[in-house]
Amino acid sequence: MANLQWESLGGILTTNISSVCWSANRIDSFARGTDNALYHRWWDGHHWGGWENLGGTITSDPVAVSWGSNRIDVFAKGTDGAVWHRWWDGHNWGGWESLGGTITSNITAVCWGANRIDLFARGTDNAMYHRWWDGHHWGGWENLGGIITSDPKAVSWGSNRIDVFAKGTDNAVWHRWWNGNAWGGWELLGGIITSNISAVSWASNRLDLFVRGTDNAMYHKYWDGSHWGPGQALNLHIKILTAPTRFTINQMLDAMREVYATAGISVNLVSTETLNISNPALAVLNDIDTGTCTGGNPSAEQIALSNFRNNAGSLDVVVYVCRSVSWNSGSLNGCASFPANRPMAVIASYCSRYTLGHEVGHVLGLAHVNDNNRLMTGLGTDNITNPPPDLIQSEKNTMIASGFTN
Amino acid sequence: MPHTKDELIKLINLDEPDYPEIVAKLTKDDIPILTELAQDPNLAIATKAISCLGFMNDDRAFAGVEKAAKSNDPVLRVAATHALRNMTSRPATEKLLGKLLDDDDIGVKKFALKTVEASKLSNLKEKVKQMHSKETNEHIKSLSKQVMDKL
Repeated sequence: MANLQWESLGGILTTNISSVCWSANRIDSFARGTDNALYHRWWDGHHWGGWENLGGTITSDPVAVSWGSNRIDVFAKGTDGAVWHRWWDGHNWGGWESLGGTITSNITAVCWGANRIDLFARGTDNAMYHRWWDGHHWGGWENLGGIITSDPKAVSWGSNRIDVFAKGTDNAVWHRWWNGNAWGGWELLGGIITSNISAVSWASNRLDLFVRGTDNAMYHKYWDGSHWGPGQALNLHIKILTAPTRFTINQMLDAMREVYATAGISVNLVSTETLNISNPALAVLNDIDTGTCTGGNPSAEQIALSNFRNNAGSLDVVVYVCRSVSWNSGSLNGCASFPANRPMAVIASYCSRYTLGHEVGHVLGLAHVNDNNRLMTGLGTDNITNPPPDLIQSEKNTMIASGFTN
Repeated sequence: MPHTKDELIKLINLDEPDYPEIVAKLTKDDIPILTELAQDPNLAIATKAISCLGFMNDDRAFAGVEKAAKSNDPVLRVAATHALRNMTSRPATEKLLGKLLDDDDIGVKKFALKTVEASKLSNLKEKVKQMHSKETNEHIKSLSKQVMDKL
């Protein structure tokens, strides 16, 4: 039978606890007491010391970090809304030092090297703010933008590397990162979460995130050095009225998968069906007229074709390969306007290698760009100059937020 | 100065071409190469060249569309039939459309009917009526009735 006993470490705590280790067999824990002061207990390898009263009047969870042996830095919000700081230098406690700002969340702190600390918190405008200690001075507060609705959480997997996560107004997880030279993101990582984010790194270029979902279960997402896993998946069905003539379905699918993988989206080919064009209703749709081919305004022929959706769920994307595709003014490679709850695109049998990915990109909410190095080029996917074509971060975010990936 | 063949291919071979915008960049000097491209074995290029020719009010452009309309490839005939929508001011267009209404291919017949409907070519009403009486595909038959009623 499992041992369910816990050792009581006493105290009467009024916040969450923050614990930090600065060497083997050493633990320092911090929490607020009933008098709103900061309290400290420590494990020295043999005994628990404390509770030590470190004073102050704090109005948030404390957060403790260590950038070296026998060094601790603790941060908390004060009654003035500013960030306050105490530190242990191996001999004495310093502080309280005010680091200013007016914050509206708990603080997250991370050390990516000796004598380096980076702090993050939400400001009164709900944006994320950053202050850092470079060994000599405090920099910042730097506005990192966004509108965040949770405590931020920072983690570092290497020198001069920081990853910060927070919940957005859409209740999804969002990510910004410092790569040593510049801030990247905000990157949408999806999900609908009902907790703060817990993040940890157990190796270089590795991140693991944990959150609570709407069903109160715990969910996990990871960065393995090249992709976020488990990835978003797009369910795709191909319905063939006329077989493609320039590239096979597999060639088009491989090209699409290569590009979509850069957004962390895996493309699942759920079904491939050859439709019977001797059916009179399908025969007239083989050279499909898409009318104005504008989003949300499918033609009567597109609506008629959307009836042939065998095996496809309402969030699955169906791509029909027709002998030809045209709109009011002439011939097209494809068109992505579709009726409500029937996401679909039509592509012509003579379309390019990248038309499939391009048209599904439209289904996922992407618009044309004037750049032949990108999938959504309006200058012709037959004219892509540096394959595979790119997706930029905002396009990846749009695709993941489309509701057609899961 | 006409565009080179490569320039024209790059200009027209888009996934979703805005033909009026493209044709605004062309001149009549581009028609010979467009006519050549209208027979290109790459149907992505050929169909778009045909669509461009349809917007160019010129005897040579019409000849290029007419040649495509008489092609053995139904994809080219569909594109040509659709392109004729923009050439209905030419007397020869009605004659050509009359033949296309008799085509064996359902796609060609559908676009021929749509072109007749869009341009209200009442001279072809009798032809559409004949088509309606003998058509076996119920959808084309229904479309021909709809067009007939509008002429």
